[in-house]
Amino acid sequence: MLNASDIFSFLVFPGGLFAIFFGLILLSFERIAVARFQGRVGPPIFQNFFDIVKLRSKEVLFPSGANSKVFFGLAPVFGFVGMIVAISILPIGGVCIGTTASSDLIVLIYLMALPAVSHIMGGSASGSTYAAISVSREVVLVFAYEITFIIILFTVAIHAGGGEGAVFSLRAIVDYQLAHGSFITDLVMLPAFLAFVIFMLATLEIPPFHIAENDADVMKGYLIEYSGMPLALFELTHALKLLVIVTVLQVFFMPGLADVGWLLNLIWYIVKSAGIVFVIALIHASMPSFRIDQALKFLMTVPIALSLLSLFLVLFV
Amino acid sequence: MDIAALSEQTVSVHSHAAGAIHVIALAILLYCGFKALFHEDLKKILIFAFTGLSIDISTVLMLKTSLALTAFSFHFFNFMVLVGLMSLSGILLSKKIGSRKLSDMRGLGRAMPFTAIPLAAGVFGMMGLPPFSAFSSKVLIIYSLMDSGQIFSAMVLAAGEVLFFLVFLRLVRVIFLEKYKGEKLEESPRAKLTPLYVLLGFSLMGGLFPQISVQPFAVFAGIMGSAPVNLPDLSINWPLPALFLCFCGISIYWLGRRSNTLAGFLSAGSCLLAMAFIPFSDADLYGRVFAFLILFMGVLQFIYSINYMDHSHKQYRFYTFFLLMIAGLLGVSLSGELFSMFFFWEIMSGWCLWAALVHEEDSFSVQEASKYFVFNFAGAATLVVGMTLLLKETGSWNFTELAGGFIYTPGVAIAIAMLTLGFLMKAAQLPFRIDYQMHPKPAPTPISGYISSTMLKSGPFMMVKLFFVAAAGVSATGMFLSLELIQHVAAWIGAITIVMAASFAMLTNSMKRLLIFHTVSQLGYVVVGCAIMTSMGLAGGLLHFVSHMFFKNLLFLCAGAIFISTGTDRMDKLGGLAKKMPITFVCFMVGVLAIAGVPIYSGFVSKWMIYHASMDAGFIGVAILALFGSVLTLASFVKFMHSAYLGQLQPACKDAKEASWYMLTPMIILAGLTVIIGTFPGLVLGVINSIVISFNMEPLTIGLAAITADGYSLNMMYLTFILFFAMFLVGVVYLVTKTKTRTTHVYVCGVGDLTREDKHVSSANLYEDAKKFIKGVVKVTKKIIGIKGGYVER
Repeated sequence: MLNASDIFSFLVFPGGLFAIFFGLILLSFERIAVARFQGRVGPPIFQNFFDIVKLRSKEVLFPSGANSKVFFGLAPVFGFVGMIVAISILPIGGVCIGTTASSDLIVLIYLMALPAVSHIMGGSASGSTYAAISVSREVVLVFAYEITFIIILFTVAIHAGGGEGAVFSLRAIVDYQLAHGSFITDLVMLPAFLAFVIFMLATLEIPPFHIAENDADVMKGYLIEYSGMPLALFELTHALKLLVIVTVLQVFFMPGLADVGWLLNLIWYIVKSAGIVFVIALIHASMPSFRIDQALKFLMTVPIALSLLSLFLVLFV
Repeated sequence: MDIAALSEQTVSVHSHAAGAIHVIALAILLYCGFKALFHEDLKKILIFAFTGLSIDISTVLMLKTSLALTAFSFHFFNFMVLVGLMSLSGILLSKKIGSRKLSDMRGLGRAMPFTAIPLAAGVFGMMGLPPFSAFSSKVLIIYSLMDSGQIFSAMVLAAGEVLFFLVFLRLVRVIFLEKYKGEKLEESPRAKLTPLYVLLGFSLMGGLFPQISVQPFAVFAGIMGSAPVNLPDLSINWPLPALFLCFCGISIYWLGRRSNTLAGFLSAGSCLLAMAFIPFSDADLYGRVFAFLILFMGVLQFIYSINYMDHSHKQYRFYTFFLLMIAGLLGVSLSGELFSMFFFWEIMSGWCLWAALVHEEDSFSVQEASKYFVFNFAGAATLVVGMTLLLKETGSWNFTELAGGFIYTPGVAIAIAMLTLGFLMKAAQLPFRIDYQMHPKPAPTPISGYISSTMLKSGPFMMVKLFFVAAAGVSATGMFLSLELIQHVAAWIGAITIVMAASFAMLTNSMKRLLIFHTVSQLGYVVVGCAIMTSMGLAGGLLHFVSHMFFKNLLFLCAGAIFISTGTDRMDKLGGLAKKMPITFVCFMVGVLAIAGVPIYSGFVSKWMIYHASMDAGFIGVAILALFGSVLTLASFVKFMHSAYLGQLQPACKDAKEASWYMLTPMIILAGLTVIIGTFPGLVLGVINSIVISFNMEPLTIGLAAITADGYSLNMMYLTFILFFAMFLVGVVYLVTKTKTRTTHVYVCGVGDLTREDKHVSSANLYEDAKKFIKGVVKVTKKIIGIKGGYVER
């Protein structure tokens, strides 16, 4: 049931230490890139590590309105745990194959919902009005983008089945692409790829979807009452989530190079991730944010239509 | 003119005459029905109803078969007994108050129960509900129509019953449930009541032993012409536990008068005792497992009721009808043939259920319960048409016999479609006007929880049984209405209902309505799973069947605890209860995480299996809708969580107290089961696997916590382990960092004069945009289909 490679993939690579390190680096990289696009210098590359260490030593404030202090303190753990497990079941093409069991699309979709659940729980438990509004917005966003993700997921699963039913194992999807070429080079999957990029921005709350934790009107929303260690956990979760999404994008559309060694593939993985984050930063720096109703309208039409187009192409062409 | 042409002409004249008589009878039926429905005079109502019904059943005589004669004479006799019962009781009542107007008789049944009970019994008998004799003769009449190939007339007859059902329901409602305002009345003298009760006994005996009581009429038909050939076997096989529970229920009506606590314990005890009878039952494993769960949930429900029903009145009555309802459900699960099944089905969803649902007796609960009663009656009418047609085509009601020599003909296909429709109606699955199909909100919470979690499962339960009986004998036919098509349609109905009910739950503002909408939505998953007839689909559906039982009941009990301590059902009045009711809150969160399908809680594994099964079967749209339903589920429960338990403490919740241990114990047991099943699904899947094998299907490869299928696998043990391991690591880091904690005020941007209500974002204000979107979709759908009325709140 449990073997050494599972433990390794959970604790060291690609989950655990590597994920936390690489996720935080990616987050810093994104901040720097945004700053450079806007003509600023930006923080040093290790800024997010410093943030975490600093928050660790700060005192923890509990809002007097918090109905359940235990719940308030526990909420960030949900998202963190979900993300750290999610990254450990993801395969990295040509480098590692994820855990042996449960490396499955459906498990992934539920694990990926956990950060949103923890935001909702934490924000709701804090008793703040700002947090409550941001919770409401977060749920509306989840409602709007999740269906896109579901359709993309099924499209990928069916396409990776190669005409013989759907394949839900993440590893099988990667293997199929290593053998038959990446999906991003496949015209049929192009709409789904675009839809995924939109989904990625929405789930990471990058502008134009910087709505639920907007600093300008809801003052970071669900994070408003958080401080110290719980806040550090939220930051870590955010970093991990960035990494998970970036990795999922690669699993679905560009898993790696066939016939080269693991080292080259690892470097390629890091370069790809940095490249995707670079694109995210570019969009981040150049876009204003939607209002929640505009975001809902946009998410319920454009990405769903794109992903459905891909699904139909995969099914009938 | 030669003789052949003459006889041909005679036949054609006859058939035209028969058609004309049918039309006339239908016209009289409708006229009498509507007359009776709106008339004020009790005597006139009864006369119109009797005339309409007797003309209706007389049309059967035109079939000119000996079976029809038997059915007619049997039904007519039962009918006359009931007519006598009702008119005598009605005369006694109207004599007493000196008026025949229905409006003067309001609540008269409360003032003189012994005189009025025969009237109620007659009414329920007339509706064709067991255990009165008209039940079996009604089935026989519809069967005799079927037997002569008059499918359409059978359907019309079944539909016509619904109209008179409304007439009779009005009588009971006015006489028994309205408030009585007059002075105290004495019961009629014993001598006058005796004949009434003799007649009642007759009717009961005829209903309980239909196989015996039909014999004289068969002999009569034999004397008149020829003995009926296709007389079906009308004997009712009473499963021992069901019989035992009926006795317990009736005795608690007297024993339980002393106190609510005693009645509750007696009811819980009788459910526990009835469990001991289950191993001796000769039903199949599938039925026995369901029967065990039925009783187990019953025990929890009664323990919970001990405290919950304290604020109520006449608890013994509630326990009695609740137990009778459970007995009916037990009968459904343990019956080996369709006629007994239908008998118990009608006990389960007939007047016992209605009497338990109207327990609070206010106009709202009466209205809602009656609406549900009518819907159930319509569902049962569909079932009776389906089952008589099945009998006509196959010649048997026994499941094992059916599975043995099953031939799939067009008639059988229609029968299976009708039965499937009836079972889906029970599970409230039809994707339009879900609010008519849902069980009523104002009923006592224990029974609402029980209906949601357990009783509605009888629909999917019977559907699975039917499909597997049918699948055992399907020979490949190129028929349009194939079994595959019926299953495909059922799966799509389930999937659409998942999304539809969950969207309505997003809109509602009432705790219980939200939960009931989610019952409908979660039953959609069960239907989807069971309609896909692969091992994975069936096992997933059945696992969800069980896990939904636990987590949905848990959520209902939590809502009931809130209702008891705050007295309100509206979510926008609540807020900040987590501090006041911490244990309830924890149990509630377990339920929410389970219903949303978060890993390590029980909903996850079953949903995982259902998605996989539907993808394997190629039902892509079904899978997408089902997954999307999960998101909606989470969203609407976040609304519940935030507006009831979290946020700011609201005035309505100021004096809220934690629920008592009577109420907490069932909740904690259910929460524990939810987590255990979520982590070790093998515990339940082991049993389900044997059921799957008993249906002659490939067993799944399962371990204690692992499921392996062709090409994919799930290992909950591993997932649980790493989830907890990660939590443990975080916990260590938390503990190692010994930071100070401090309590501060909530940041409100410097505004000082906000009340708690101002600061609380209530359920009505959450997700405005998503709600607007859903409302838009509903509006467009309504325009397309052309229906009116509010869907969500009532």
